[in-house]
Formats: sequence, C-alpha cells, structure tokens
Amino acid sequence: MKAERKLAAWLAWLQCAAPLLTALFLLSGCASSAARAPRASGSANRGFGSNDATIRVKAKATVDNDADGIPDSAAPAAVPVAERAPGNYPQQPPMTGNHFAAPAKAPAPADAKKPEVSKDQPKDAPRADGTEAPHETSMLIYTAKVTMAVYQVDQGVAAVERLARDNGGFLALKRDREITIRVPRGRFDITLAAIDKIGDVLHRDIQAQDVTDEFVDTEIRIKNARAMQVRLKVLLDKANVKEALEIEKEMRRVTEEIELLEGKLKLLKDKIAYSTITVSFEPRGSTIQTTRIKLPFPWLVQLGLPALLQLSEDR
Amino acid sequence: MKARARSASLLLAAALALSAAACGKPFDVKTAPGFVALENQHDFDWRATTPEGVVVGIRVVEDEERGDLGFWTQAITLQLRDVSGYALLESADIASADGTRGRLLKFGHDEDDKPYVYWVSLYLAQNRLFIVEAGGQKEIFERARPSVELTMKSVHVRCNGFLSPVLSSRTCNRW
Repeated sequence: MKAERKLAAWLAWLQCAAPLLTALFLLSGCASSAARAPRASGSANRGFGSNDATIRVKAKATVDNDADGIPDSAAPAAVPVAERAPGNYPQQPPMTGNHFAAPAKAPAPADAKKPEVSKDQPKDAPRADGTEAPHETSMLIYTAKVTMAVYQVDQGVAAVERLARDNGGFLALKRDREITIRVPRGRFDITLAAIDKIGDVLHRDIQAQDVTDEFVDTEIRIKNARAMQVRLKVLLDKANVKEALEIEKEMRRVTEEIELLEGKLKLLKDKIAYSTITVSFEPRGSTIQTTRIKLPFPWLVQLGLPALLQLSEDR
Repeated sequence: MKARARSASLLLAAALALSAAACGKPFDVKTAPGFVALENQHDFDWRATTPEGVVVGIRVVEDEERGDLGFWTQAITLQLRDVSGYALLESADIASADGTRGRLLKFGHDEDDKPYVYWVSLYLAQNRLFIVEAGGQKEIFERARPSVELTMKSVHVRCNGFLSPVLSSRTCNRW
C-alpha cells in the first residue's frame, strides 16, 4: 500500500517536471544556436551582399506613414551628425541608357520592382533565404529625356500633355517642339511606355538619382538648427542687452538657415514624388554626327523631302 | 550566202551601236493620271508632279550593287531617321512591275510645321540601285495616293532579253 502511494507520488512529480525538463532542454538548444548565430551573420556580412551601399542605406531607416514614397521623418539616431560634413555626400553616378536605333524598355521605378513583403514582417527584416530585403525607402529622383522624330509635332505634344493629366501629373514646360511633364513616381514607367506609342522614338535617356543621403542630411541639419534655436531662446531670456543683441543676430542666421533647408527638403520631396519626363521632337543629327561613321555615298545625304519637292526643269 | 551573213552582222552591229549610243533611262515607268513628267531633271532620272505638289521621282545610282537590299535599307533608314529626324511609319517588302524584289519605307516628317509623307522604294538590278521616291503634304498626298501607288508599281528595273534595250522601250526605256 505504501509502495503504491510512493509510485503514485513519483508519477505525479514526473508529470509536473516533464514540461519543465523539456523547456530546459529547449532553452539550452536555443542558447547554443544563438551563440552560433552571430558568427554566421558575421561571415555573411563579409560576402557579396555586404557592400558599403547596403550598409549606408540600411542605416538610414525612414518612416513613411502617408505611403507616398516619401519618408515623413528620418531616423537620425542611426546617423551620427558629427560624421557628416555639410555638402560632403557620396555621389552615385547616374544610370544612363543610350539606345541608338531600337528603343529599349525603361527601368521600372524602385517601388514598381519591389518584391512583396508580408504585413507582419518588418520592412528591413532579412528574408527567409538569408538575403537582406531591399530598402523600401530609397529616395530616387527619376528623369527621362525622350527624342522623337519630327512628325505631327503638334499632335505629339498634345498627346504627351494629355498623358500627364491622365496619369495624375501636370505640364511643367511647353515649347514649339519640346514638352516637359511631371508624373507621380509610381506612374513613371507606364507613362514612358505610353509615350513610346505616340510616335517614333529615336533616343531615350533615363536617369535615377539616389538622393537618400542628401535628404537625410538636410533633415538632420534642420533638426540641429531647431535645437539651436531653442537653446538661443533660453539664453536670450537670461541675457543682458549686449548679449541679447548678439543672440538675436545669431537667431536670425539660424532662422534663415532653417528656412533654406526646409525649402531644399520640400524641393527634394517634390522631385522624388514627381518624375520628370521631357519629350523633344528633333533630329538627333548634331549629337550623332560626331559618333557615327559617315558613309561615302553622296546621294544618301541628298535623300529627303526638300530635294524631291524642289521642282525645276533644267534648260 | 556571204552577202546575207554580212547584212545580218551589219544589222546586229547597228543595233549594238544604237544600244550603246542610247542616252535613255535604264528603267521604265508609267506616268499616272494627274501627274506630269518633268523634263531635264538634274538630280533625278525621272520626276513627275501633280498640280498640288505631290512628287514622284526616280534616281538611279550606278555601280551600287556592292551592298544588298538590307544594307541600303539600313543606310537610308539611319540617314533619314536618326540624322534628319524622319519618323519611320512602315517598312514592307515589295516587287517592281517586272518582279524584282524591293523594299518600301514610309516616312513622315514635318516641314514648316505641317506633316508631310515621304515614301522610298529600293530595287537592285543591272548593277544599279534604283531609288523611287514619293512625297507631299500629308492631306494632299492622301488624295493622290492611288496615282502615286500606280506610278510606283509601274516601275520596271530589269531589261527582258538581250535586244530589249533596243527593241522594247516598254520594258527598258533607253530612248
């Protein structure tokens, strides 16, 4: 009877202790794998995926609450101010496409090519395959210059203007044979494809300029200037007349700086939000004469409407 | 027998001499209704116009069979499209009235802010390059289009037979 009671107590203890033991076992396993993890990621960082650009972009995490592609505020904590001298930005060479005869497809804007990310997953979280997800908030300014053949120019210009309106954009400039439109960044690729259908595209030049550094720096400089403004106000309250004059002079300078920087930031935001497309109707002659081999057939340059339509009868 | 042979050889020599001395054109073309052929054309071997100024012209470039049809098509397209800013509207394989394979390029271009149409047909025959051009203001050209097409389709660029340059001015107009 006593033995039975002992056995029952032993079994009850086991029942209680089993989950505890399992948890302990799992914890020890996790701890050992966690100890291994930093070594693994460390080695990955020395691989191809870890260039300077990747690190630089990752450091400038930004927040975009209104989902317009423009961050509402930067994460200045990630970027030490002291490390950045004003105007010292690493320049990224512009991406230029030079197409001689056949028009090529324009690269899609960054947001058009973004892979789908699950809602639960943080934006900058690494993917399951170990590669880092592309930064969602890279700030790119897209510009395109399209040269079209000189045929039905009035209709072409009107069609481009209509395209801008249909895609939520607007007319920026219109001349006799040239038109510049601004379209939302997300409609850049679609608008370019539609322009291809308007006429014979002779040449396309597309650029994507990364202004992430400039944008973040400007935001930080504004923040610092505002902090300085607050400090100056505090000092002004305690200052005598002579000091107050000096402080007010400094405050004027800081206020001007803030206004300038805010203007610059607004301009950058505008350029990022709206891509610029310039369509000009002109021959490429002057630009390609220097690069193209001149064929030794004099009759070739005589071809065209002026020679055909200039009527005369020699006697 | 001897006299007959002599007269035959004389006839042949006369024919060859006539052929050699001929100063006509190495092609044949029909002037369509509504067009008038112009005389003494300097840069063109033949040219005709409507009263409204739709013009069809033919140039013959000697010794230009060095390149094939593809070469000349590309050379003309690059010149007109890239250098002169013409819009290439259409490109098609065609054949002349005598069945010679050719290429038709249809361009558009604005002159004095008005749209114009410019067609170029190319044929290679007789060691020559035949360039048949047609052009005019778009609206007027569209009205004259049937006559333009008729003229362009009537072009013969190949001589039929040895004596045809002399005997048959219909197929190879050397007179």
